[in-house]
Amino acid sequence: MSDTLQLTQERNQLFYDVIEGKIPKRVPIAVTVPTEFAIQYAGEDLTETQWNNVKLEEIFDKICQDFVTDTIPVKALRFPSWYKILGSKNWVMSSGGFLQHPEVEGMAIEEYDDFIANPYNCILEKILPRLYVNLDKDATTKAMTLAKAFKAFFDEVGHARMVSAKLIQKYGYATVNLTAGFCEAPFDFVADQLRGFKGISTDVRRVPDKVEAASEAALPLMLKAGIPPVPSKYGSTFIPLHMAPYLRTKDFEKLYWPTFKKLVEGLAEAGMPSFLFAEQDWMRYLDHLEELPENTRIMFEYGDPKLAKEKIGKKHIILGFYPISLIKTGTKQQCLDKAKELIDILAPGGKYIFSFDKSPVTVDSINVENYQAVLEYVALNANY
Amino acid sequence: MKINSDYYKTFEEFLAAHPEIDAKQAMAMAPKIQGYEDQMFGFIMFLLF
Repeated sequence: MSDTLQLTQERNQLFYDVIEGKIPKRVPIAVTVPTEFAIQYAGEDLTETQWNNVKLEEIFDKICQDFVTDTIPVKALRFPSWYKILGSKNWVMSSGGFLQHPEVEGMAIEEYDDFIANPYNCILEKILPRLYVNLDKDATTKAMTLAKAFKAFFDEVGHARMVSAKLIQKYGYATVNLTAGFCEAPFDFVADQLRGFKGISTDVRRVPDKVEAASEAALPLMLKAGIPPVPSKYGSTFIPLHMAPYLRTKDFEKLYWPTFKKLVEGLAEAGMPSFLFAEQDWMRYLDHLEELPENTRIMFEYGDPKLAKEKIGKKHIILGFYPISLIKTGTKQQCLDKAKELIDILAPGGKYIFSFDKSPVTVDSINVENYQAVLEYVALNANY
Repeated sequence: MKINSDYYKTFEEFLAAHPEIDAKQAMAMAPKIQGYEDQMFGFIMFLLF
């Protein structure tokens, strides 16, 4: 057996043990940087490289060389080609080369009933043409545009996946895929790009019944989107959670939680655990999270790690809590002390995967030496 | 999983609209036709994620 294959097996075993409720040899590490960070780190031009992917492997390889992790440390999610072809208003590249998501309203408040009656029809007939202006054309132009965008999407994503697979093999990373699927909480789906933050905040008070019905209507779409062709208990479907911390608890319980819970339960019944990114502070919802199927992976941004471990740490797998901002502002010793503090709280009993509270967006948003030092510290010292 | 829409068809619905397809062809083409339908669904949804 090659050294890298053995390394893959050892790293997989760390995750298998965590998932199966056993104590692993060491706390596994699952951190990633986005494509933009990797391009900057390699000293390449952000705009040019996102349009021309020939250097992607070399750029990702440099991240693999310099950052110690158990899963591949760089992840590509979006490229500009299909957004540009479609005339996107919801993902727009800035002059600096970053794809940004401005506040948008893809669905008018008067269109709730259309969405509730048939969400996928409403998406294709009304929402997409509003957010992607090149789909708001005659039928022939629209068909040609969609065909080009579809081709671009699968070319770009396919290339990035091929690069990742090569690097996983080259460096012996775990093949456990924490983001094997992707979907959203039904309420967040209605909020994010359909009604927008401003629109949904008003709707919750003015038309709560419509919001509730729209979330119910979105649930089957999220379930279908979130179940990959081959579900696995060692993989998971990534669900970034957005709006709950901005809701009153009574609104959360009526409008957000029921369909979100059904989604996570439905994915679990299909054999696919969920990997939740609990953005902002979810501490007041810990009792709700405890109700979700066992072994839900939950990455916390802010909050109290002791409270989370106490309330859900025996049932679910915890990630996050390490403030990425400290990597920028702290001394190396302060950064290592924070890693030790979190490991002491979250590692006992297993069910813990080390990660930061979020990925660094740009190279200058962190001190790279501190980032590397923390990862090396965990890899060498977080043994059971 | 079935999605009720004018723009999503399961292979069974596709087959019902194409009576010229015989059983042998149907069996051979089913995974590919269904796969493209699901890929397009995935792409459309990703545009709103």
